[in-house]
Order: sequence, then structure tokens, then C-alpha cells
Amino acid sequence: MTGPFAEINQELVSITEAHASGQMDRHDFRRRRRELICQVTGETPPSISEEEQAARVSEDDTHPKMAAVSVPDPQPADEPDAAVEATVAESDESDEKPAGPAKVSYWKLTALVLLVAVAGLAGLLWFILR
Amino acid sequence: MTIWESCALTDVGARRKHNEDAIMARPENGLWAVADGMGGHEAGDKASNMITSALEALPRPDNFSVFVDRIEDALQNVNATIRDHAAREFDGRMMGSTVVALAASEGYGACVWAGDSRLYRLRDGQLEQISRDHSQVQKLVDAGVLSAEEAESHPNANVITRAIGGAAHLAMDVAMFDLRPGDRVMLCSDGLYNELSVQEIAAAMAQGSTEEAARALLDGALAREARDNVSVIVVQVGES
Repeated sequence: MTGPFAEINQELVSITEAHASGQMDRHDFRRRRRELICQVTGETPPSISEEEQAARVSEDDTHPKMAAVSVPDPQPADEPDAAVEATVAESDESDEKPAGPAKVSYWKLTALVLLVAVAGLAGLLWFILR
Repeated sequence: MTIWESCALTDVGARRKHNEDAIMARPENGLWAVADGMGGHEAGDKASNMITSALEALPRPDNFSVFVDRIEDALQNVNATIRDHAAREFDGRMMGSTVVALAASEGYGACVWAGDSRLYRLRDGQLEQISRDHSQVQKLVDAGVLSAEEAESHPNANVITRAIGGAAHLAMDVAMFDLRPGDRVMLCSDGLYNELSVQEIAAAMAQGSTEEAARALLDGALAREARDNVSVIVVQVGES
């Protein structure tokens, strides 16, 4: 690809890499990407206040486990991270809930199979020895 | 207003038992996608179908840059869901999917992708690959270690470095390109381009209607004993 598209695409790659490596936060990344795309489309980039709102909602939705990976030592002043961590803790708890009943049912099933096997063995012995 | 004509086809191929690819076409929204699932039956096909279902339900905002953001949001949501599902149902075993999506508007399009599913544009007989594979061999090609020809037969040619479900943090690549009446755009899984040369793809894409072109591409791959699932979407840019 040549011309203005090549330059815009090169910058799109560059900001995506910066965002992926943590050098550019999501808000700045989205704002800059919208500016670049709007250079092509001729549209007006949506205002930052609208974008802030959307980013905050989607960040909670899309990265519930990010803080656990990237923030081992959360800073007390960083309120959004704390909020994300709370979401992580909740989702981790909810992850463990379905595991409980599954384990109990496995034990029940094993006990039931053993019981049937013992009953069968007893029946067989009675049949042979009677 | 641009009129989009498109045809989307997918096939299990000659060797596989299950089709883990999924395709999505919504010309009325200017959105098409191909997803190539990984992880085996009931993992790969589930992952790719999650992607196409999420994109299918996506409303189209007025602003195109917001549309691209919404596509990324939807795919990031699917990324989290797939990782959660893999941890619960498959003991953390790999479950994921590549994706390539085309968002189109009058005069321009955006290619949004992760992995090695591809988007090509055919203009005046010239085929141009718009997406760039997220793969180990592509990195070697970019670094000048391998040529494009050597990359095709490299033993790690199928090793991808990015996918939906592959990592907690997902970065989607976006490439913008112009669209003119008469242009044809093709989205496909690796099952197609691994079987056909660039010249064969260009020749098949140029055929008759979008349906004939998509059929020619699919049949071409199947005639080569397609080792993988094959998916193809051909989109024609019409006159305003």
C-alpha cells in the first residue's frame, strides 16, 4: 500500500504496539486511533468526553483479569486499578463456585459405583457358595 | 450509497472431520468476518462461532472510527469469555480462534484482525494482501531472515503469535484502505491460501459474480485435497 494509507497504517501499527506493550494507555490509544481513522473517512473524531465514558465501561467489561496479571503491587492512589482488582476478586470467587458441586458429584458417583460392585460381588459369592 | 454484493462459503475440507471455521456476512451493516478456530472439536468451532455471533449482533454506529472500536470491544469480550470457558471446561487447554473482519463504507474499508486469516483486495487484476499475518514466519520475513517464498514452506508456517483467546490482553491490528467501485475484497482462512498460489487466487477472484468467484476459490482449494477447513468471503464494491 502506498501514499497516505501507508503512513496512517504504519502509525496504526505503531500505536497498537505501544498500547500492547503498556507504553500507551487505552484512552490515549483509542483517541489517537480515532483521529487516524477519521483522517481517512473525513469524519470528525468523537469528543474525548464521550470516549472517556465508553472506554471506562468497556474496560470493565473486557479486561476483568488484567489487573491480576499486570499490577502485582497496586498503588493506593490509583483508584481505577483498585476497582478492576475488585472485579477480578469477584470473578475469581465466582469461578470457584461451580467447581464445588462438580467435585461432590464425582465422589458420590464413585461411592455409588463401589456400592454396586460390592453388592454384585456379594450376590455372586452367595450364588456360588449356597 | 454503495451497494455491497457478497458471497460467503465454508467447507470442512478433504481431511478434517469437523469444520472449526465460522463465517459472518452482514452487507447491510458493511461487516464481514472469517474466524478459524483452534483447539479441536467443541473448542475451536465454539470459539470461532462465538466471534461470528458477537459480530453479527453488533449495531453500526454513525461514526466509522467508533464502529472499529465496537468491533474491537466485541472481540475483546469474546477473548475474555473464551479464556474463561477454556479454564472451566477444558482445564486451561488451548481454545481460540483467528479472526479477520472487514468493515466497509463508501470509499474506504478497515481490516481488523488477529492471527493468520487474511484479507486481500483485487483491483484492476492486481491482488494486494491488506492484513499481515501474526505468525512466527511473518516476523522472520519482516526481519529479513526469510523471503516470502521460503516462509510458505517453513516448518513453523502455521505457528501464530496472536489469536482471540490466546492471551488476557488482546491487541487487534487495524489497517485502513480505499475502496472503489469494481474492487473485490476477499477474506479467507489459511485453509484457502495454503492450497492456492497468489496467481490462482487473483484469477479465481476475478471470475463472474461474487458467488462464482467464491465457488472457484473454494473448489480450487478442495481440488488440492484441502488439508484444513476452507472459508472464503468475496465482497464486490458496487456503483453508488
